Parts: sequence; C-alpha cells; structure tokens
Amino acid sequence: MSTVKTNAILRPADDRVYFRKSGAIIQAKRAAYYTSEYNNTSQNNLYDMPGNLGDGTASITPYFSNSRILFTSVLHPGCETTWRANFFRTYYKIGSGSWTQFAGGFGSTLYCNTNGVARTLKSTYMLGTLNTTSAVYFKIQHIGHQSGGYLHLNLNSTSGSGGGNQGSVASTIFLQEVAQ
Amino acid sequence: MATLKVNSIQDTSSNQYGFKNGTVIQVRNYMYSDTHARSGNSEERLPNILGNGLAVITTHSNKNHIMLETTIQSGQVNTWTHMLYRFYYKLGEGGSWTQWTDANMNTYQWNQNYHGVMRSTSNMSIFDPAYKGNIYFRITQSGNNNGDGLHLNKCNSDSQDTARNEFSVASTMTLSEIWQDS
Repeated sequence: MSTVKTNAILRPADDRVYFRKSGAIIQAKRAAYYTSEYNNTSQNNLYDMPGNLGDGTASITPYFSNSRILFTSVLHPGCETTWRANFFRTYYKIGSGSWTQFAGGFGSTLYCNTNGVARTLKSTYMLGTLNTTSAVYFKIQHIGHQSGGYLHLNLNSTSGSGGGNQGSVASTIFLQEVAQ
Repeated sequence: MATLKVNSIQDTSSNQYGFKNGTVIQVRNYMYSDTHARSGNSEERLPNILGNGLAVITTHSNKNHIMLETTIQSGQVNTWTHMLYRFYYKLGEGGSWTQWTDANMNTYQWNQNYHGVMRSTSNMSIFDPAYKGNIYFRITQSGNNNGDGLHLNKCNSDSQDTARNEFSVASTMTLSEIWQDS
C-alpha cells in the first residue's frame, strides 16, 4: 500500500485543518469510578482512596509522547453533624515506575449541623509532557484534619440520614490527552 | 510544499482516520443566567434549558460516548442550603427519561445571617448511550428537608435577599461527543 506523507490535511471548503492541533483533546476517558459509600475515621494519616480511585489502576495510554495529560477528579464528600476537613494528594507513575506526586491536590471543608449534607468537588490539573506512550497510572490519597478529618465519601441525604448514597453519586477520575 | 485536499481519510476498515478512540469531536453548551428560587424539598426540574428537556446533542455514531460537564451557581439566603441535583437523558424525541446517576451532584453551604453568598459547583461524567441521533438532557433539583431551598445564580456583595445576579454568573451544561472506533 502506498503511503502519503504531508504536514497538513485540509478540507476543501474552507481550508480548515482536519487533524490534531496543539491543544486538541484527542482522548478522553473515565479512568476510575467508585459509587459505594465509604467512611474512614483515620485522622491526620495518609492512605490510598478506596477502589480504583486509589489502587493505582486508573490509567491512560497517550497516543503521542509529547501530549499533555489533563487530570480531573470528581469527589463527593459528605458530612455529619460537625465539621470535616479533607485533603487529597494526587500521584502518577509511568508503566511500572515509581509514584510521583503532582500539584493536582485539592481539599474540602464542610461545616454543618445536619447529617448527610454533601458537596460535589471537582478539581482539574494539566500535567506537563511525560515523554511516553506507555500507560500512565494515577491515584489519589486522602489525609484528614487531625480534629475533623473523617472522610464520608459519597454520603449524601436530603433527609438527615447519617448513611447512604441517596443520589447514587459516583466519585471518579477522568483523564484526557491534550495534543501538543 | 504541496497541500493535499480531501473530503475524508479512512483506514482499510472504513474508520475515519482523523479521529481516534476518545477524541472529542463536538461540544454543545447550554446555560441559564437568570435567578431562580424555589423552596421545599420535592424534586423539580431546573428552569428553562437546564430542565425543560430540550438540551440536546446529536451523536454521529451509536458507538460514540457522551461527556457531560455541569456548573451550578448555587446562591444562598440566610441559614444553610443543601441541594441534590439529578441528571436525566432520553434517546430520541420519543424516548423515555432515564436517570443518569453517575452525573448526580450535591451542593451545600452554610453562612447564617447573610444573604447573597454563592458557591460554584461542577461535575463531570462520561457514558455510552449506544445511540445515534438526538440525545436530550435535563436536570432536576431536590432540597434538603431542613435546609433553605434553591437560589440559582443569585449573588450579590451587599447581603441582599433579592433576585439579583450581580456578578453575571451562569449555570451551564456542556455536552461533548467522544469518538469511539468500536
């Protein structure tokens, strides 16, 4: 088969470029998904988030080595009748390499006198070029405040319940490859 | 250098070569910027395009996925407010509304004795509708039994309980189509 090589492919009507350009999202995927209610009473201790939010299996395989990765997490921390302060650290590793923390961390503070109130928390961070076409893995770790650091992931209730995922919300990680 | 102009490029399996698995091939955005206040805790649709079921994206293939990103500008009057937002879709005009729980989200804030404060809350979700054609979306809200209700897009810096959107915020729903080869 013949191969045609060119540095621009345009459509005839208006000469607009058909192929990827710098900044185009060329891959978007949901990489982690957790819908159970998860409670952890450990305070001021760092630990992996439950399921594939924290087990290191969330991944994306870039098509191009110079692409950048846009990391987005959506978490749903709930609250009991007091206050909760939760901090989240974010890590990646390339293939079987070592975990590297990146500055995609984020936090949540809730102060309430009703069980089950909750807030959806979305955070986004664009990583630099990782120079790889191997799978890149991601995970989130949690550490709670020493005095109000319980985590009530996916707990939500509009009727004052201290347990349950009324809205069937899903805590997730999304990964997008951004062409350069 | 010469420029090659073509109408399409396909591989030997007739896949359009310009798109790969996961490529975002179109984006649709819907927004509402008026204020809207509701009390009570029953499930109600959000106003206008966010809740009337006319927000739509037309998929080019039944293989493609939909990515949703929503931002709700949740205002507050006195005491506290906790809202649960549910998302629904239907396939084609004649389809039935189905809840898309993965996209559901909550907002909450407490700032007793002050009015006009606001919090922006966003979500993101991806799903496979297995459908080619018009896919419609709508959002509903349910207030907490004991909290104050909905004050959508209501914000001001002088602590007024008035229907003002002083900072020109908009609550939005963005739908993207994600290409899938199979």
